[in-house]
Amino acid sequence: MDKENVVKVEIFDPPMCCPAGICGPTIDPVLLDIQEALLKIQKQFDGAASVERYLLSQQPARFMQNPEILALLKKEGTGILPITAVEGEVMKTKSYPTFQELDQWVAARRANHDQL
Amino acid sequence: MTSSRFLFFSGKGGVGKTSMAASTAVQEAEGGRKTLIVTTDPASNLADVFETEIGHRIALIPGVPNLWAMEIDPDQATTEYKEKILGPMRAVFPADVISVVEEQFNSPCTTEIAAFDRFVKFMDDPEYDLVIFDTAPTGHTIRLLELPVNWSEFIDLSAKGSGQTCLGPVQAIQESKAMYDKAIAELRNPRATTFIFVVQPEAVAIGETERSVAEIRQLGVKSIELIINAILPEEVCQDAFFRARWEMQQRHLQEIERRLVMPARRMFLLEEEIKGVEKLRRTGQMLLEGETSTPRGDHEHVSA
Amino acid sequence: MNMFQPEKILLPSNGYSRVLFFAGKGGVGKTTVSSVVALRLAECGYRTLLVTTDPAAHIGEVFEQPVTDEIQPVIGVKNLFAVRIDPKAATEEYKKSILEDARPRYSAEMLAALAEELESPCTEEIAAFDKFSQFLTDETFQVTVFDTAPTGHTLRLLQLPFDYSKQVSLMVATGQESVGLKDKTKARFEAMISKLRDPARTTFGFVVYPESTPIVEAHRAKLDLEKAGIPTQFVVANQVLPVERCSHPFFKKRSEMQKRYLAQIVEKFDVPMLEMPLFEQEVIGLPRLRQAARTVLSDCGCRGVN
Repeated sequence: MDKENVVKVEIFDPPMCCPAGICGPTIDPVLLDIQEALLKIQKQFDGAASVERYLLSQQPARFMQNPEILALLKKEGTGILPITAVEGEVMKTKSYPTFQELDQWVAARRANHDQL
Repeated sequence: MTSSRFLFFSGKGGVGKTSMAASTAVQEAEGGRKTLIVTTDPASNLADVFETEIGHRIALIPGVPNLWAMEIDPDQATTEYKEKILGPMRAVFPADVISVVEEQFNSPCTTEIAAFDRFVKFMDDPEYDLVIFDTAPTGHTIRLLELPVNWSEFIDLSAKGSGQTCLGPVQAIQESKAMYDKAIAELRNPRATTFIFVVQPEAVAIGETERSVAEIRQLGVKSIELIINAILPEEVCQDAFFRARWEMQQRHLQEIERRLVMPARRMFLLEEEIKGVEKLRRTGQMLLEGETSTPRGDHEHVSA
Repeated sequence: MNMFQPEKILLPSNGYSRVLFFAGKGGVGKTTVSSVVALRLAECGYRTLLVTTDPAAHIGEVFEQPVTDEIQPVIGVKNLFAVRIDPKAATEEYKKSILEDARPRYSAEMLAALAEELESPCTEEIAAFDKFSQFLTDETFQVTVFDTAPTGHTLRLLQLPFDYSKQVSLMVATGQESVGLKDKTKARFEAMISKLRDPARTTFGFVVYPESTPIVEAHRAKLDLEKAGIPTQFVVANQVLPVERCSHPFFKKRSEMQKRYLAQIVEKFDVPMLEMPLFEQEVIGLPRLRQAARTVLSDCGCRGVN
């Protein structure tokens, strides 16, 4: 698989105890669901989709490097999180995407790549 | 005395770890070694024993050249660790974002990591000839010391897996991993590290010390010694009540000899608390005289 | 002068169950004091649970019978049960229950990722805390006695409901189910906090021996607890030398030192003080525990209720 052809999905997570949010005093099923959806999407596209998750407390640089994310955070505060970006473009804010949404977005980008 | 660079005092709470560690520190420092005594106990009483302010910084102990001390304050260590991350963020993010992230650090992980980080740093510091750790009581100590072993495995595991751990991105941890590995290697090297268990001749303490020694051995620590503290001097036990306690201690001393086979030193109960440099100096001297070289050496009474 | 009135601080009142905490520096005799008090209350007829939160617990040695991470009756004492929080076992149990809940809903890959995430060092703290909260809120015992780990460790454990409650407030609840969970969890922590702060339901006692360092340490912890809204209700002074035995100058000197410190305890803590003497033999095994219990708490305040 050509590296340029990999579709990059980024999740800018809300503050959580640890990266997947499943080591806190209570485990939020929403966090399990998104983890599952992300695993599934990687499997579905078999290396053609990559997923990165960022935490404000641990990878603040990622939030600062992306001007769109930084602007959103400055304007709306942490309530805007989680943010999902595909190929750097913000697709969804305030809640996690479903598997269907992710599938649609990644498939659309793949189609674009193929046309080029 | 000792040639180790790191001494860990361990044992059940209240057996006199801090007094023994502090006496040893005074003894070694006055013998010419540049010595640092550190406590990782969140409820430390090091300052009380030295009768001087210490706190969360390296402080020179007045009246003892070559001796420094520090009480690692877990809250302060956490704050320092937090600021490493928060500092650069302050310039960019609005205050409410910063405060949310800051609150986030009140996670169980952060305190544990931060305190541990401080502790490992001292093992990597060439500044001192001798670093004495007046460690936290047994159960807690074992947890603390088990961490590096578990953590290395945990870091390896995570690097292979999702690449994410409780400790932050793998990239950042890889740097610390080398430091953790080095700390473990030092703990296991009998030329570098000696564990000194302090025990009193009483049933419960013996059982607990035996278990802790086994756990520490299992972690791969090879150099382990014993100080038997608070032994009643026979000559003061004329009253039947104390005579009975003296006899009980004698039985337990035999038990210790049988169950805790390692180089051991004996220390008598003193008529006063061990506080202040002068008493620490005398106690250090007594400890030195109470030295027995072989694990099964004769245990004749060493008079105080 | 603060009188030690056992009925006010040791016994259940107003239909509530009573939680007793014995805290203090390592080695001051927390386990012995907790065991003695628990035994006495059980003998008075109260259904009593003795819980040890010390990872290096030796409660089994004191009772001369195994105490495990399952609640079990203490053989030979009616109404008395004992359990220890074993962080390792609690962690395994916690991991297992989370994985089992997740199993029907998620893929094998997801479960593997979850299992890996649960290997984190904080899982152990959360798991031990979970057990602690379970015993703290258990209403099937009339009295629950906590033999706690040395001070620092205990303060940390008691800080957790406060920390967790704050953390839960920060949870970004993104779904209906999450909102419900968030509220439920928050309610659970808040219930724990209010129980810990209510002197009619929870009693905090520090154990010290009459020497400088245990007093300094316990007093510092007392102030920390006050900041969290948890009042200290009494102090147990343990290992007090029997004056009549201290004729030799060596012990006379130690006994006088103790006397000074006992006065200091009364003045510094400003709460009732219970004295527990040094016994001729170690307090191990039921006969000696019983004897100690009757010496220290001849009147347990139960007025022959049972």
